[in-house]
Amino acid sequence: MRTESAPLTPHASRLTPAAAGPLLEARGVIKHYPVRAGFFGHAGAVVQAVDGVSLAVRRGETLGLVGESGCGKSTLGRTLVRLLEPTAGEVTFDGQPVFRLQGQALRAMRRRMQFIFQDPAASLDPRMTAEAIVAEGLVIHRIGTAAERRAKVRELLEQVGLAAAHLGRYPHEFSGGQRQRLGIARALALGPELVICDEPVSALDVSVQAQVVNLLLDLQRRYGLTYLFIAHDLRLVQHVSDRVAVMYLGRLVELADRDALYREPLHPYTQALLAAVPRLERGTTRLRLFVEGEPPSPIAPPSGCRFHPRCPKRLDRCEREDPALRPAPGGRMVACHLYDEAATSNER
Amino acid sequence: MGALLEVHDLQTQLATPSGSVRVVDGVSFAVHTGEVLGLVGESGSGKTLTALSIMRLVPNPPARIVGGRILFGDVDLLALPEGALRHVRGRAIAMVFQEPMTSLNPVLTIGEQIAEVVRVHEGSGRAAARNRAVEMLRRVRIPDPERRAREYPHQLSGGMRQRAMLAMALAGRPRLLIADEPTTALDVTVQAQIVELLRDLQAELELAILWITHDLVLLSGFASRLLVMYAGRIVEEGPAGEVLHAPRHPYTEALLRAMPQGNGAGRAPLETIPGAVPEPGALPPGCAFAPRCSRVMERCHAGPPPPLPAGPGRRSRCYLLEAGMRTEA
Repeated sequence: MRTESAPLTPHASRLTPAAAGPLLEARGVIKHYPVRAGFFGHAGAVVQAVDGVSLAVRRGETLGLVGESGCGKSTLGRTLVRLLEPTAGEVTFDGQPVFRLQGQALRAMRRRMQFIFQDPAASLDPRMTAEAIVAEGLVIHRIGTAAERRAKVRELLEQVGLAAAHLGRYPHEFSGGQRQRLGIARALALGPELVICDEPVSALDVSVQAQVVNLLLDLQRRYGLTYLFIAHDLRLVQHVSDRVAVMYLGRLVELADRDALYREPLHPYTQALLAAVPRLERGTTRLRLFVEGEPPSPIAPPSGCRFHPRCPKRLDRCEREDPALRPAPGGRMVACHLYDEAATSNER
Repeated sequence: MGALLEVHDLQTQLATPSGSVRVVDGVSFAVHTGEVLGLVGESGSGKTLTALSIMRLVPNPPARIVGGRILFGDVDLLALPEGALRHVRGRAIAMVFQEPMTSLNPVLTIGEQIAEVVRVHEGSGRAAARNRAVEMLRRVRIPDPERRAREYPHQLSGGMRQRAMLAMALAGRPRLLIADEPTTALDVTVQAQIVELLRDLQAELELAILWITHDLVLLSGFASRLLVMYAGRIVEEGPAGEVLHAPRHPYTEALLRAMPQGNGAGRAPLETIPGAVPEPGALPPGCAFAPRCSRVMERCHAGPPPPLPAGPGRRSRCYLLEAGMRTEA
């Protein structure tokens, strides 16, 4: 059993039995950005980027987080690990209150959750060598001697498929796929348990994407990593995830096991999203169901259900009543009035 | 269906600090009247420069067309004086881009810009051109077109801007539309709307479309034929369904296998293509895909394979076909 002190070895919490609850749990997380006065004429307006999200990430799983641009998925990922300061809500990581930690306790927790960014070119300091980039976290957290760190960096580079010959190179000397491998090595340096992958392969060509996806899957198996995998590519998310959460305009609209969600999406937005995914078709086929229009602005989201103006199945109440994310049959969660009956009878 | 556009042995060069490199190297294909032809390739494959070469819009310098013929009817577009190209661009062939703001003027209303195209190409009067602009906006299914015509590009959402650019491109009644990744910057639900819109317009207007994309399956069920480009050459060509379901080039095949297909295999490793797309200027002497090909043979390193017949209406630049071997693993 693990003691309450900080882990002596990385990945120590992996020894905790799964019954110990989710690795990360979010309750009512809100992130609003103020809009500069005068911009769009909305003085004092706020962008409701994330508006009341609750979810749990289980130990060792990959939770996929999908949604279209502007839905708040990336902001949510950053807020959960406090790369952004939250407006409200609560997040616990392995039982500790993430939003309330300070100083040493916060630094210790940061070791355990790392981030992989979409654009490795933009997230790697162009003036640092590969070695310095990967070692940076070790230096900041004062881990090991210089020689130990050097050995650790070599080991990390090897694990992500780069060679010792790459140590002295700068980010621009790497290809896109190699740069992302470097970003992964940096994220792994401190032995994290949770890794937030924010569109980790969407900047890469298809022929290179698969290599990086396989690397992430391989590292997950090897180290028992937990992933929150944020992406707009629904085919990719289907491939890597155990469970999938769907976001629309700052809210979660559905959360379910991967197969259930892709086989039988419940929320009309999830249905529209999946219907719109290009797939290999035989012959000439038309798309089945898709929605008109585009997501409205998160500055002035629609009343009631935020999807109601585009929803092909909307009811009268959808315009007035904001549906909560509630349990639906099959252990799934959905925020839609179409399933109110089922939810109510479940609760009884 | 006759050929509307024929490209013969197109060669386009790019000047780089280390000398000129051939980024489009001997590209030949035809677009038939009223067909949807997909041109698929990864970044650096030369697909966009091929399209820009057809419009004679390659940025010179650094790029320059150094060889080939591009026949539209019996006119060689590459031999036309610059002045005569105005009658081709927009009128016979129009082009839309990934980012609509590259074609839309930020200081003119949407209506003014479309009306301008109508006036130039059809010599219409102001009022007639304005009416036609609104009509074009309605055609691309922009709600409340009279009001939208009075708005500026920045007032429109990404999807609406893409529709407005389409309206402008189609205002000159072109017979060929070249669409360069027109949905890549859009969200998946909006992408589906634009694909469906173009499907309808294509049928209504008997328009031929050359659609350039990096997504092999985007045009599945829409394009009649596909061209697959790799490192400046067309490596495979054929009816879309056959190319996607029974590829005849190892690159096409590998690309299809590397894509997550959502078949529920979950967490199984994806099949990968080793290495990366070669840099232009650092192409291997033989088949450009040879260093990454799982079925490479000795001769592949000697010289690039020519396009070889691969069934009715199909061609592939792969020696496996000459050897009479199956190209599918």
